[in-house]
Amino acid sequence: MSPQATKNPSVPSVRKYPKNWRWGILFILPWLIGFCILQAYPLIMSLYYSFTDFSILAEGKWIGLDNYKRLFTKDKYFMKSLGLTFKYALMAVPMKLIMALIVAMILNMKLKCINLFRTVYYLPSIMGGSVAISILWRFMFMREGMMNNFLGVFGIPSVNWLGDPDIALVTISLLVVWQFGSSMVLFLAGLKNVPTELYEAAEVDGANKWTKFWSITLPMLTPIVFFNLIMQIIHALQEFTSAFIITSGGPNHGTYLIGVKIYEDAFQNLKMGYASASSWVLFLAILLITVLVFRSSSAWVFYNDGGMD
Amino acid sequence: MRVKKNDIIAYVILIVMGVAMIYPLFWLFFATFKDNQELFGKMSLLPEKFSSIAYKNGWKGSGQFTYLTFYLNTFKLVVPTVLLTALSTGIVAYGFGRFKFPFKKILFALMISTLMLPDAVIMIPRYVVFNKFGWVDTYLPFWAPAVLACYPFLIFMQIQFLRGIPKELDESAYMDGCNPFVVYVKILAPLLKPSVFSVIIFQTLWRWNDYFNNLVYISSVKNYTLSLALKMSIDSQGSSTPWNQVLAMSFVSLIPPILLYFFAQKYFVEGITAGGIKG
Amino acid sequence: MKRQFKKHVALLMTASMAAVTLMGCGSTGKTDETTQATQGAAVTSAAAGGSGESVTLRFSWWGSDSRHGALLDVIDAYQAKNPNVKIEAEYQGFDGYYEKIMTTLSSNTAPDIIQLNKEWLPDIQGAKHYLADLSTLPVDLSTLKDRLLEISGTYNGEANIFPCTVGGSPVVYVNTDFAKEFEIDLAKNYTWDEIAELGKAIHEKDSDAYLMTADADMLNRLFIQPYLVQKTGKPIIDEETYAPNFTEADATEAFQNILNLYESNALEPFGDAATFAGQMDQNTKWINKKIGMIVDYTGSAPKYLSSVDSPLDVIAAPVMENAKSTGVVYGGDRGFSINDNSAHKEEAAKFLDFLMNDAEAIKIQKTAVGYCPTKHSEEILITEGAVDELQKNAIDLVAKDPYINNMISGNTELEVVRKDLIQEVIYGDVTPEDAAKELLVQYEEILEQLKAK
Repeated sequence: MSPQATKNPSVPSVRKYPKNWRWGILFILPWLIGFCILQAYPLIMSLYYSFTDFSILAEGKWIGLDNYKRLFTKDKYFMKSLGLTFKYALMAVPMKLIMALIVAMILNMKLKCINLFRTVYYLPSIMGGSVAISILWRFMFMREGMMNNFLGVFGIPSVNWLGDPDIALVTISLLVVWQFGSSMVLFLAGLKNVPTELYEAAEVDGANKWTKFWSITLPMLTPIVFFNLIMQIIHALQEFTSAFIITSGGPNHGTYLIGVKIYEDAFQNLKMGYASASSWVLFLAILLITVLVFRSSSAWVFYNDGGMD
Repeated sequence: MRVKKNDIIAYVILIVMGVAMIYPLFWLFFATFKDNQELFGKMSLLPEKFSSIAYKNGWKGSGQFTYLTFYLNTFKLVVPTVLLTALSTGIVAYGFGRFKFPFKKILFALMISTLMLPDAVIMIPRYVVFNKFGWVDTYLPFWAPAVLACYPFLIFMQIQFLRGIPKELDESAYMDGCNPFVVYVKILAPLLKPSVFSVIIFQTLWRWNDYFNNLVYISSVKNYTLSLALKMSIDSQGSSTPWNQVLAMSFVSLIPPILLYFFAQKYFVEGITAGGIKG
Repeated sequence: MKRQFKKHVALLMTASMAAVTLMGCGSTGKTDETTQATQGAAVTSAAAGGSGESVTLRFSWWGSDSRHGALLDVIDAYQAKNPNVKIEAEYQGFDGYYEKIMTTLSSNTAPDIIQLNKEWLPDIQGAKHYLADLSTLPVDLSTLKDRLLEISGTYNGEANIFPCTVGGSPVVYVNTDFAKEFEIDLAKNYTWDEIAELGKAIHEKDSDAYLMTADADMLNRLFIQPYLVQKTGKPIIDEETYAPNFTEADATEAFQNILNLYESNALEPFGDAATFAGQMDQNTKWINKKIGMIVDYTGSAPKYLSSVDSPLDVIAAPVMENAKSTGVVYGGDRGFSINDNSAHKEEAAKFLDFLMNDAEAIKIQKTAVGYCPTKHSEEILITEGAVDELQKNAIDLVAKDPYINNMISGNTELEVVRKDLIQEVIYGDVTPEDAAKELLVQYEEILEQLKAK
């Protein structure tokens, strides 16, 4: 889609914008201060903890790389939960984004009662990760629950949604996909950001709906697709709530996502140092993936501002 | 005629999918009228009888405070947080999106990377910091990060929207002698309405539903928010929980975010078309 | 000009970073003043602790509405008698309570009086002297039932928790309608094998029905652990040597016992039950009388009572043939502690004494806080008719012939290993033999580390 993108008339030819960097620093100053006084210390401390046997209740001793060594040699669940987490992200992220995009496209149409529909599709996301959701999900997916009853109508045999360790991960992903509202909102906002003039110009050229989608809508939406992708990846790789409130990582560690493991190590097994070490390994993994996606973005993300300096 | 056919298809898809998505929520809603045995023992959608007792008793809360207190507290926590976030993250996004300055790439990377560590290991040292400032059991642990734009997700999001706007627009204004701040307020901010409203909606929802931070930073019951109040009477250790009350209050607590979303929508719909961009 | 600005920014950054780091590092000791001030405890009377001067105490607990109401009423009653004392209640549900207490204890912002689970005591007090020695404070410990303090409130010879309940495990809650339907004899003491046979017969009669259900946690604490104790007659770990008291063969047998219960369909399939992990009272089959028995703690009686409309009964847990012990533990799961860093330990203790020992306070609480931990509370509440019969019967069962467990056998890490292995056995990932082997290997490593501490 990039060829079409570069044809766009709004790419600036001259840059007369203020190069004066002091304004830039001034504008990011709130965050800079916030980072220094609120965020930097916890980050540094968690890195420090990862080299100690800190347990929350007792101050930790420095134990060097022991935590990291243990993760890769003795811990029989660390690699397993990392693997599960990637599997989960590979399922949940594309499903959620595609679903959100399709629904946003439909909801962007000028239909009657569209406000109501937009609200209806957002409602599941408003429920968040509350106790109500944990009750609901168990009821939907238990052996004789709503889902199996519904499938039974079509003669499909019942599925052990939450009892089979392999299927339970899919069931957890379904919750996240069901709550696609925030991605949908962003797509909707992004769609509204597409200048109508572009469509009008294309219509003059005799483009059909499909061409308009591929050559205008999608390229103009790529910054939002990119943003959603990055954020959903970062989020999915740390997913905790769904697996924790519905299955607590079980059964037989089938939904033992790394986020659940880190939480259990930190607070239930009182090994904050060890949990910090897992977190930093996870951090590096997420960082690596994010950098790769960022690198790839120059090939497929189109910015209307002609590039960030 | 062609348009109409498409509309019908769209309606059919919307209604079928919508029903599938919302059926579980209907079930939850009707569950607020069932007692525990009916709630967990039967699959039926409709309750055997309707009574508002769960709402009445649930609203009373457990002990000293009613849900009115928790409601007001939640507003006290969420409203300033959201407004301050919208202001601060917008400005920071403008700084990152439109200006050149030293170490920009590194700072941007640093900002995004703060999202990559699980909360579980950040919570304790963050508590230590807030405790040093004497902020525990106040709402400052929520307000201060909002003032200081400590929400990289929302900054990054606004950068993405900002980058969808052609630079010529603000450049010409700058050439006319406006300073960058005025350019932001007068020209960009109105164009960024959809993104600002996304920030408002997301931040409202997150703060509204946030449980762990509220749990850790708020200790007095008089300062409890709705998310804490909802779990207040659930003792999984043996006593029975009136689930219909918990569910009823869950629904009641969600009314403001739903209303906000419903009414904020029109700002996406208006979007940029009203502003009129010339390429 | 430019350079100067850059310098300023750099300076600002380093300064703020340093400030936070410095502030963060001195996280213990000298921070008491600020902490107390922000937390609303009265700093003014820190030194006095005597009567007359006004004191504010913070009191935290978890519970359900009935416990919240009862404790708030007790607080009101105490404040009416002691106008100089103000007690700030900090109450919540169970989820997140432990996390919060750990966070506040480690940052020295914990309340003055804290409800604690007995299981947390070794972790908390083992890390640091966080909790006060109650025997040095004005709270009467002699009222507690025999040995209760020793079993459930003592760490390193110090009384740290005033138990607020007695109870034990395992006991079996029975749906009497189910028992009638399947003609189960409730007067009998069952062995594990008899339970398996009975379960098999029931499932053959009605393929929807199972005799029992359990989640991983229950299997671990209420099946495996009692089984090992019944086999050896001792707690699973020896307190002196830190060595397991059971052999590989014993563990194999314990795992095999679980498999037998599943194979005979005495237990609802694990996958189906897993949906209700931690919330067995919400199990649809149990509510609909398709499951007849649940093995649990005595303290869970209220939860099960309100979950079904059939009357419930309680019977003794299954034992093996020639068991050396019942495998039943007896004690108090919960209690109240006083923060050793509290500025008002004496005042806190006086309130605790009122809460647990005063007849008026007992009458207000009834059994909302716990089941009669003191001798006189039982008398008072039985005369008042405030004691639930099912719970009383359950407690009589566990009080009859319990074994004396030790702290180390309840260690969380050891439990987690067991819980993981049980599931692997059930899902057929490992045989009971291999699971037993691995159990001992992992125990050896954990116990070695614990011993080193």
